[in-house]
Amino acid sequence: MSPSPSAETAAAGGAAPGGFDPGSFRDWDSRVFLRGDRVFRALSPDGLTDWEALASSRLFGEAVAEGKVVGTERVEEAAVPEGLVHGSAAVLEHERVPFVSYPYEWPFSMLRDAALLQLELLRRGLEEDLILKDSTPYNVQWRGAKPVFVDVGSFERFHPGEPWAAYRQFCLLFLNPLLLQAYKGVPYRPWLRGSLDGISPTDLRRVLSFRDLFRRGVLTHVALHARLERKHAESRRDVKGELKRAGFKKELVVANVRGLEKLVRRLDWEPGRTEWNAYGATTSYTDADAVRKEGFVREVVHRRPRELVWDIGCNEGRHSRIAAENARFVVSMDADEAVVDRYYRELAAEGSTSILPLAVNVTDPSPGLGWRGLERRPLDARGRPDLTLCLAVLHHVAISGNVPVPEFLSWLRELGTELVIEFPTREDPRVAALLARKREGAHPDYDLEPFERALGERFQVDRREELAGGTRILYAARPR
Amino acid sequence: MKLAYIDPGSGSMILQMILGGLAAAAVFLKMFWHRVLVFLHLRKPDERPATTDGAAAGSPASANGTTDRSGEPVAKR
Repeated sequence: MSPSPSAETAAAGGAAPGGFDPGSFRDWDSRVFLRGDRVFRALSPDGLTDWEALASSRLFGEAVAEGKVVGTERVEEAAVPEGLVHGSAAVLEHERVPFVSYPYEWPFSMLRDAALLQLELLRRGLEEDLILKDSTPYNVQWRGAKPVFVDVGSFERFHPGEPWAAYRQFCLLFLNPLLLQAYKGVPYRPWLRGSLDGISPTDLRRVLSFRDLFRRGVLTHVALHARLERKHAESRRDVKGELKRAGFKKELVVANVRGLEKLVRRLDWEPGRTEWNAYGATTSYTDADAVRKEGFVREVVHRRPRELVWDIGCNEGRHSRIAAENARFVVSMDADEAVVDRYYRELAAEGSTSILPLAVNVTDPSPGLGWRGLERRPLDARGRPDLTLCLAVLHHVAISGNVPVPEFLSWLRELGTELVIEFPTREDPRVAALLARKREGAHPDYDLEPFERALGERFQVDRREELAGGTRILYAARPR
Repeated sequence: MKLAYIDPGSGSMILQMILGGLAAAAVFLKMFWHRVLVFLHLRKPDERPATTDGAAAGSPASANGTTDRSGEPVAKR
């Protein structure tokens, strides 16, 4: 099975072979297509002029060198797909990001940092008469814990007298989700997963109380915004023309961007104590067992270098870090956003570029979304792991999530991944605690013997080790 | 006029104008306050108030001298 993300993309994306990427259709001046492992962008004549303005700017060279904008160069590529309305005038090639992720998988601090990157590039662009024509977190991807702006086609020449057309989109997809979570403690991820256009000022206003009106940014960007939107929804006024005649200046756009930067930088989310964010302290392992487990993982990791490792139920990320010792890229997933947020901040402070932390519940992974369900791809269509760690997670999947163990193992088998999996037996205190919440005799099939049989049918086990007095067993396995 | 591929929203554009107006008003008030201080001999006339990064140099501000001779807004910060 190919570990190449792009092969998976093309296969699972459902795009016409050789056509444009199914997630790249909105902007008629710039569309993405893939050829094997390579990412290209076709530009219209107008898009080309914008690119030339960007390519000759100081910002572009600096931002690419700083890792803030994806590496991009103009190439001669003959076979451009059909479908660019104004025809194709040039082709760019982009550096690949290791793993595509979406804002409904990012914890609070990641969305905030993505917003700050967006605003910084906009502010620096304006100094050289460049502006960003859209403003969506889908234009930001990650090299580990470092955000990188990938939609080079979003830069265009600034048109004097015009306001920032993407301000509304910035509010819907960056600012409003952040305000919702910072001020109300309501996670934005389910909302963003349900609405690719984001959270409208009107909807957010309804969630906020009178007291919230006095919190930073709410009165203008939310309350007034909602009111003006309602008032002018049916308006046929040529607002753009009026602004231009009134002498709307670039400095006003700059002032707004600086204000937004200041606002966003100060937003914070206090998750409070969740079930997992103190897990490290309450773990049921003894130190000796933790060391043995790490040794087990390290041995499998160092058998050979891996392209992509998934760590499911990564928690504080101890095993992801071991995996990163010998892998090109690690995607660490945990259902608890608070844990992932803290882990992200650690990685970001270290400047890590090889571990991507995501808030993902593996029993409900991100589906295909948007137009034809192809615009945003399902988790497992964005690159398949060649090694997956499932440590201290199986009992949550099987008992809390009610996913039958054989089905979980079949899903892992379909990924074509090697496996390090831990089976906590019914006698393990944490398993017993989960079972105690259910009717007596629930999950009779959750037991060592049926697990080993189901595992053996799908995988070739090549190492087995017991921990914690026999209540935790580790397996290293290859797909059959 | 070039059209954006996303709808900028009439209400959102008007809000940007209001935000710009507020920022310009803030600069204007700051200048005004500076003149009051000068008048009361609490500050010397050549002392410029520090412009904060939220302040705009919109048209009212330009009229009050936050642009240099080339007509470019004075760099902030």
